Amino acid sequence: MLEKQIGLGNDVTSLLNMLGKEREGTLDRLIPLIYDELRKMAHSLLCHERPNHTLCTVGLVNETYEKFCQQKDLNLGTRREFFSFASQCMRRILVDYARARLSQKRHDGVKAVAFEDANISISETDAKEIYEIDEALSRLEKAFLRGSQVVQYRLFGGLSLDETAEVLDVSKKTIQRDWTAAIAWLRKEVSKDIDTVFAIGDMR
Amino acid sequence: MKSHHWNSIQSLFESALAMSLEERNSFLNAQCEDDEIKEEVSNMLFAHEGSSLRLEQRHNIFSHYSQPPNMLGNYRVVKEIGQGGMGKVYLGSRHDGTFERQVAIKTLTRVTNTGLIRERFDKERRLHAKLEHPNIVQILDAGTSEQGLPFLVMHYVDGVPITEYVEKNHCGISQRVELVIQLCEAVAVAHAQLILHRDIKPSNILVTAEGRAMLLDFGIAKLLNVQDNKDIHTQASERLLTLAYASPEQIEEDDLTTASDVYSLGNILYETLTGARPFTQTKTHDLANNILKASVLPPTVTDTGLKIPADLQAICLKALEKPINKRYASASELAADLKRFQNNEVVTVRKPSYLYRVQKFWQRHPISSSFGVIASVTIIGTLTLALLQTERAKQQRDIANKALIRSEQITELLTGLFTLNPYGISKKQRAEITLQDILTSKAETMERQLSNQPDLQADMFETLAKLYEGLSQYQTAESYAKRALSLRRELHGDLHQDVAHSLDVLGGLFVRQHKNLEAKQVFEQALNIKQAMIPLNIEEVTKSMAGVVAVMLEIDNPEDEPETIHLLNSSLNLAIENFGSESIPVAQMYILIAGFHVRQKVITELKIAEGLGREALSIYRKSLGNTHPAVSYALMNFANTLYALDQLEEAETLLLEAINIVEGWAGENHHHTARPVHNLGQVYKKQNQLNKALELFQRSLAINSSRLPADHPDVIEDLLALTDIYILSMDKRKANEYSKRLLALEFDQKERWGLDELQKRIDSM
Repeated sequence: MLEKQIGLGNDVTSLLNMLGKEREGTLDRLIPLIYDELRKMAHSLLCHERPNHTLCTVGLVNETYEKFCQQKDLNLGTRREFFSFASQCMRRILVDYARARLSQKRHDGVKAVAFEDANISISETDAKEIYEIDEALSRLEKAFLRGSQVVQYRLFGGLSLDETAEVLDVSKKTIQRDWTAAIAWLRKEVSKDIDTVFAIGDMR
Repeated sequence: MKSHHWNSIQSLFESALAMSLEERNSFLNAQCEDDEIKEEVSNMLFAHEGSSLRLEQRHNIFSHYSQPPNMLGNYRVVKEIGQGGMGKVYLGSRHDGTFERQVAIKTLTRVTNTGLIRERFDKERRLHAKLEHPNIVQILDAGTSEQGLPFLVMHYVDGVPITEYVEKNHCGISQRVELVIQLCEAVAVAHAQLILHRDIKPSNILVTAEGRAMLLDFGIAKLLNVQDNKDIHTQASERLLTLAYASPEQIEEDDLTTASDVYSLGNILYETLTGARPFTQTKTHDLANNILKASVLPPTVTDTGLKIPADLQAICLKALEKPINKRYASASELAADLKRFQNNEVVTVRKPSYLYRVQKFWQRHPISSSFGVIASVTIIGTLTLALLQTERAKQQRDIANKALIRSEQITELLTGLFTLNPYGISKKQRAEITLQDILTSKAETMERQLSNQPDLQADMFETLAKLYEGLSQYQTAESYAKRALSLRRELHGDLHQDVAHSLDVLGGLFVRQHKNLEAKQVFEQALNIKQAMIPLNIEEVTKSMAGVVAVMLEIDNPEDEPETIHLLNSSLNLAIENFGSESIPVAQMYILIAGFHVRQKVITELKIAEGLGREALSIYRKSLGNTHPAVSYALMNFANTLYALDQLEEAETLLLEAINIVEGWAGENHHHTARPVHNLGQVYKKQNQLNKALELFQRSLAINSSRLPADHPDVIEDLLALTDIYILSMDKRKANEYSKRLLALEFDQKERWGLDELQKRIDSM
């Protein structure tokens, strides 16, 4: 799929070289657009009625990728690079929302970060949880980089096990193992249940 | 947390995840030097388990009890007695009129799809109702609590896990083996009924104070597989939990067969003997890898320091072979070898060298073991070794020649001379004479030539049996089939597919001779073998089931009725599940079920039979075309139903078609052709078209009497039919003539045929 979409051979080095050039050009210019798109998605995630009151991130990043690649007929470099980048963005966006929600509370109604939409419905506890997850993830990153990446891609980017394996270029089995261990570690680090914020049960 | 800690944290976490809750603590205590790491890992485990529970809560399908419920269904909950991988176990009781019965109630808290589970439960429970064995803990009941939580009720067993039992009681090797034999026999009984355990592990085996091993949770693993597919998290942990006792095919997520249970029994044998599992890697990944690839270290000493004999080691290793076909073919074969070990007999797993046999002999007769005897054993040993070497060289040469001999001598010479159809019958009658000649002249020579190669000889005998069957010489065919059977039994033992095949051939010959009781017996034996085969060949199993049922219908013994119904049901279900509802095996079962209904001779039953027959016929036609031999059987059977329903015109059409088909492959004058010819005669007789009927009965008699023994039931039926026709057409002289022929014959159960009454009718003409 990778090769088919960008029409290149199997040579990973040439892919990366090519990506380096892309970075300066297309991707760089697109980053604000993509960021914007992701923010819209996050926004609707937080605004819409959620069946389990959880954030279902499944397919978010994938959807964005398809949208930019197909609709705008653009070459965004490797899916790998894009997925990694977009998941990071998504994490940043959600954490920003959470911070905003928390500081909103702290400053007793005074908005520290601009909320474009008053409809944003993120509970204080959810915001706290996202904030905690983000902090724990940063700690995990130092001890176990790949585990923290797996969690970031799955939790924030909504990538499936297969997609995560593709992005990190390791076997699905390894990803499954890393995910199980890392998410267990993360669970014990945060005060609330991750499942009440993210729809882990719906992940592929 | 430092980065160099992570690796050990992850591997400890994964290993512990694969263990039961009870095992985890001691494992972590033993493995963690660093208290910080230990706390980290146990917190992770706690978080992990907690999350799978919470996940299910979120799905809102069950509620997890913190307090034991007072009642579950009709059972009073006494106390919690354990926590298994699937949920909690309670001690319960129920008043059964006069006495109170103690039961164990398992709640299945990890089950998420209750609707599906309940459906499965009912099906399994029905299956299990037949599963009675002194070493199997039977499921008594199942239900759902008020909260919608499924639970299982079983006999309460007061015992300890097998590994604990042998350790606490300082059991010797033979005591340990005895316990495993009990288990193997229990598993074999379940396998014979097509029930797999799938999850045999020490915590599922309790040994009572009297030393009886009880196997718990039969087939429950299968129930638990009905999970919400989306819930990858739960599934993964489920897999990890059972990994420690998984078979290679379980890890590869292949379909499970009886062989997986045999592997698990090997695991149990290993752990019961040594106190340790064959593979003890602490990383999940390593463990899985080792189960798949690494060879098992021979179990040399017990945990108490006893030396484990080589035979027992070999048995253990064979049960734990990675390729299924190298393992014991069945749990009963494993049990048999363990028993042989107990009795100091030759175990099959060891290559039966002469030396080894001699050793065994002396072990069984310890009285003679003096120095002189030991010396002679050594000499014999040396001699046999020398003999073996020449023998081996010869064997290799023989193997090279075998393929050649097989094609030249058997296939070409015998069957190659004639183009055989599936039934082993030559199309042209002229060929019969030639064939007959060749058979008598060549068979003996070939038998001599092949006397050193029993497997080829068996093949030849079977081919001969089929050829003679084609010639309707059933007695000769039978004797060859029996020789093939006994040779194969000698070669492979009782449990082998070739033996089953020989039994099928023999059974078919019995059927042709109307020796129904014998036929039933051999078909049942064949069925037993096929049910123990690995991999299970469902088509063969249903075929044999069909064979047994067909014969039972023919015998028509009212006492057999419940078994007939049971077999009909289970084989129909098997056929539908495995081959789809429009398959040949299903059509076959429809015909048999129709046959069952026809025997009730009630109009409603006959109508059911008609529907089934019509459906079966259309399946046959669709899948085999209109001229296949099997279609003629479907036609004949369906015509029987129509005959009973008095729908004679349609019956006539069908039988004409059947005759046409059979003539096409068996010839005009074959025993097979006589059957529909006779039946068509019966249809005409019922229509009062006596001349037409007479003609057909005479044709049938001409065929049968030239080919079959004078007292063959088909000949008798023809004679009876003819006598009857002459009575109906008021030809007293002819009637007398045939009646005399009948009375002159000697045959079994003569009174059953109603000859006296026939004679009375003639006399009153």
